[in-house]
Amino acid sequence: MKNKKIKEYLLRIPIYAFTLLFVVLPLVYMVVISFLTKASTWGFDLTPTLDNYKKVFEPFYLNIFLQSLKLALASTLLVILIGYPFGYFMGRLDMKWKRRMMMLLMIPFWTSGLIRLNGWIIIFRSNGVLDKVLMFLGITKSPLKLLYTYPAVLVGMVYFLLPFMILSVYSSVEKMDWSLIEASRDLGASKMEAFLTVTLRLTMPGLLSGVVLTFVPSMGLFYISDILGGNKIVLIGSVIVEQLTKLRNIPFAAALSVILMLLTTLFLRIYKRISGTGELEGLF
Amino acid sequence: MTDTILSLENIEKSFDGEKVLKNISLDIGRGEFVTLLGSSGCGKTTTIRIVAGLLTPDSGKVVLNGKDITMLAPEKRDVNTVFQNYALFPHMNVEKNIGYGLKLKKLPANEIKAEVEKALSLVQLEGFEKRNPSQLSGGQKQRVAIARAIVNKPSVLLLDEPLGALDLMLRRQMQTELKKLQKALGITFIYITHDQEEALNMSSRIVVMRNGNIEQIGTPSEVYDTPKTAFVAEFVGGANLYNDGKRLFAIRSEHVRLGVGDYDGVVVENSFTAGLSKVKVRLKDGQEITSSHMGMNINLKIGDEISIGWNKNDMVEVEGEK
Repeated sequence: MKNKKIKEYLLRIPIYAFTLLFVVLPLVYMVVISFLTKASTWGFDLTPTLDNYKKVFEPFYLNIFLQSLKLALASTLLVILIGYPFGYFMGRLDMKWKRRMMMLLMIPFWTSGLIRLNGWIIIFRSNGVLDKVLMFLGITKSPLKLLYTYPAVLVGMVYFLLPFMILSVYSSVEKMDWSLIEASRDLGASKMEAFLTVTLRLTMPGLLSGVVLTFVPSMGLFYISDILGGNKIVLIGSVIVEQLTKLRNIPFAAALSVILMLLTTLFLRIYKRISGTGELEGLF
Repeated sequence: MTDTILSLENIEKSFDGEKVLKNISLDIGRGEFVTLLGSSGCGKTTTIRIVAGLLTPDSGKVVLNGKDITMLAPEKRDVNTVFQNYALFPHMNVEKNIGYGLKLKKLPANEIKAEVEKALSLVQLEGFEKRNPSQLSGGQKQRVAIARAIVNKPSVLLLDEPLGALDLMLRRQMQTELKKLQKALGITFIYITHDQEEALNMSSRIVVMRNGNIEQIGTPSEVYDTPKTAFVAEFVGGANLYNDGKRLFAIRSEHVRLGVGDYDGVVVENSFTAGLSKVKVRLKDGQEITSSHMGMNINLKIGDEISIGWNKNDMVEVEGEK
């Protein structure tokens, strides 16, 4: 009995060690650095300071946080509007078509996301694929110059994040017990009422986890706005990278990251509150 | 039957080219407890799904209270169903499950509460309002499913093998309760089962179905005592079939005497279960006849030669093949 307990404990050690080494230590390292001073040449001095955090709350950076938040919310909303119906109908296909759709969803992941984003440049650039098609169809007369605009970045974000929402919704729709819909219709619900009171409610966990999978990364994604937004749309992710690699202000980059992490954590807490025990009852 | 509440007229239904219902016609009177009895695949579930509106027949009519409802959406029919797997909403507690239909009808909250409480007391589940379906036993879920349906006071209540998942003791108890409930409410019940004992015990009329056809409609005693077909005789009464060379007869095993009679044979089986002794005898012409008796084992061994017999008026001529 006692032997078994020791064995169990020993088995857990690698997980603890891994977490400590690759999650806890880097986090502590980052938090500590965020309270230190930038060295005049490279790295940081061990002089403690709150200046990095004061700088985060300067209007310039707050604005960037706000812009990132807006873009994250906008892309998440679009991803919900496109991804939920997509995942829903995919979940209702027969087995053969489910497999085919799954395959189609997976194919893009075979190439690097950066390469795929460069594909969007070809589509969006002035006189690019999109412009040519639109002008050929007579919808527009001159090139739209969509590249390096906010809509281009938004499309890139949605394109990038959509599969996560689709798969998340799909898996919850697949688990649905459709006899519940029959019961609901039988008890007097129209198709729409049955969807709202039963289907939507029971697939809500999938939708919410899709939101987490979309919103959390979209706060930090920087290369989409770099590639498709030029330097016009500055997101917090880009600022952190810039501070880290170009301006070599590691303590400030660390402070920005800490605040970003706190924001994300706050969001996850809200998510937990909503998706937790029956808190969504009010929706019905 | 003076007052017909539900009529099925020449209902046909196919799935993937296979005929599941072949010209089903059936009239059900107000306040009846009608059981559709048959083995799986006979079309009984398809029939009530057509009544509920969850399926549309290929041809034929469904008439409820004098109105053709064949093409009416399920939510617009004055019919409710107790589903085989209960189909309770997992995200609602007992109270919300039962009140679901009333809430859709936009009844005021206090009326819903009162109706839900009444329904809960009818199924003897007072005090379970706030429980979640996952916290209920199979029997309790069944009661909630029944309460959720009857609270809407439908003209016809459809029950799809509602007791199928319960153990024998609970089944017996629920049979009695359902029967009482049906009498108290005066709602017409259409009940599906493959258990002939359940059908005989509960129904005012039994509809025996087989391969998408109705084999016989009648009261339990009609179906049991005077089966029309060989299938009904065997499936409902567990009767012997005896071919005298020209015609086919059903003879119930309790009417077969051992030791005296005009038929000679050999004992091939001798069993004793649930207070009933059963002796199977193979006659000289190869037909097998079972005789059953209340009480203890009969002192016969397999291979013993024996004469058996029965009264002529216990023979019921039936259609069909052995």
